[in-house]
Amino acid sequence: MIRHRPPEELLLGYAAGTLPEPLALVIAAHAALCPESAEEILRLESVGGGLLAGIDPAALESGALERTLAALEHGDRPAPAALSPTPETRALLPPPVWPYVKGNLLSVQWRRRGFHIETAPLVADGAHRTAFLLRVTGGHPVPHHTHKGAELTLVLAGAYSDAGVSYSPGDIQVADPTIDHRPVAKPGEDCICIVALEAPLRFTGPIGRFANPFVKL
Amino acid sequence: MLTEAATALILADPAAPNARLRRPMIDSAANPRSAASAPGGSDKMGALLAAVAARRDRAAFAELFAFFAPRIKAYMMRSGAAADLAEDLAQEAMIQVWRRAESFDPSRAAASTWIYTIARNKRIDRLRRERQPLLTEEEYLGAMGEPERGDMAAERRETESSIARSLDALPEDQAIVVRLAFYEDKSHADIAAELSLPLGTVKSRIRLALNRLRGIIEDRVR
Repeated sequence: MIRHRPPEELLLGYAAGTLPEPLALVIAAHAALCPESAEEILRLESVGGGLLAGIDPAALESGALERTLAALEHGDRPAPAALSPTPETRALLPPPVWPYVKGNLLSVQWRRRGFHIETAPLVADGAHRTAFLLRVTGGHPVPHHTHKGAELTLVLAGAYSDAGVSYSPGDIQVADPTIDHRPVAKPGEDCICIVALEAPLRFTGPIGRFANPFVKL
Repeated sequence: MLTEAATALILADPAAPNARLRRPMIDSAANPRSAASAPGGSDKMGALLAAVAARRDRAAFAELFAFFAPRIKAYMMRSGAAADLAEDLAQEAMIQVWRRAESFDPSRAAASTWIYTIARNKRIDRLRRERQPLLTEEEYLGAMGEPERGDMAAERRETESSIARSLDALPEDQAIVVRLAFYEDKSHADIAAELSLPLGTVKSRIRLALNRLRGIIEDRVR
């Protein structure tokens, strides 16, 4: 059961199309796992539909319809080949993420970030906002860190706890820049998450500070 | 001219529970400017889309085009596109409506919602040069488990005209933040800067407006 859902501002941002792509990816992946959030997005999109129907129209240039009809004559572009993800991709990743790994989880480039931490990039925009997969060995922490911007974490497998709160598959944690935290993966299973960052992390612990120059998340 | 219900809404205490406000808005006579009485009445648009999907019906497409293309152009211009780019994007979006008409599922969303998502994704693709991670119909269905009943969808379609009406009826300070959030690709922080308002005020106005709109939607869907 999903216990931690994103704040409405983020669902609205997805529906309105104003979220940067890395954040939108995490929200879409969450919504694919959470019927309640998916339904909420659809409701907010129907607000968008109502707004579009009610907007004051802008006059088109003359001949716009004829030009568009002529463009239809050029034949339907062949539909892009349907993405058929590999079984291990399907097992771990929700559908919105499939295109970001080209349908193949094995194609992602895992990089070691610490003794028990690996990451694999999914998407980055030009403003240091990124989304990546994070794998933490069961029972181990992500060192103390803080952020300049928001950090969105969606659990895909395993679980972790942060300041006494546990997060399980489908749950989203939103950490704002005021939080200095040290999430710990639950013992047993590796914890795999999708994380989106609005700005690079800053590690604050003694080891973390040393690692900063090497960590480009 | 304000309808009686709209006046009641504007005069109402924003903190009052939505339940008190919902009924009058829905049952009120349609505002003449709203989508309900415009050619955008959703069932008709859905039927036109179905005709395009079933038999590549060009006359149906021309009707869809006449209603939506000028509105998509206006939406693109509000998002910062110059007029000629907005015109191109409106045509491209309508071409996509033609090509993807088969994937329109009237049991999921109204025609204008589906076309809105096409226009939105086109805007992100062309104006921001990013892509919108897609929640396709199948993906939604996967997340939803059971496909929903058709009558729920019909009720949701009705809500769109209610939404257009209630947007007209929202207090201006709330309507403006919702329009900025949806149309102009503005983050809450941008809106706060533009209106010289504290961020918290922008957030609470958006929340108030959405609560009202959502009250209407939920009333109809449940």
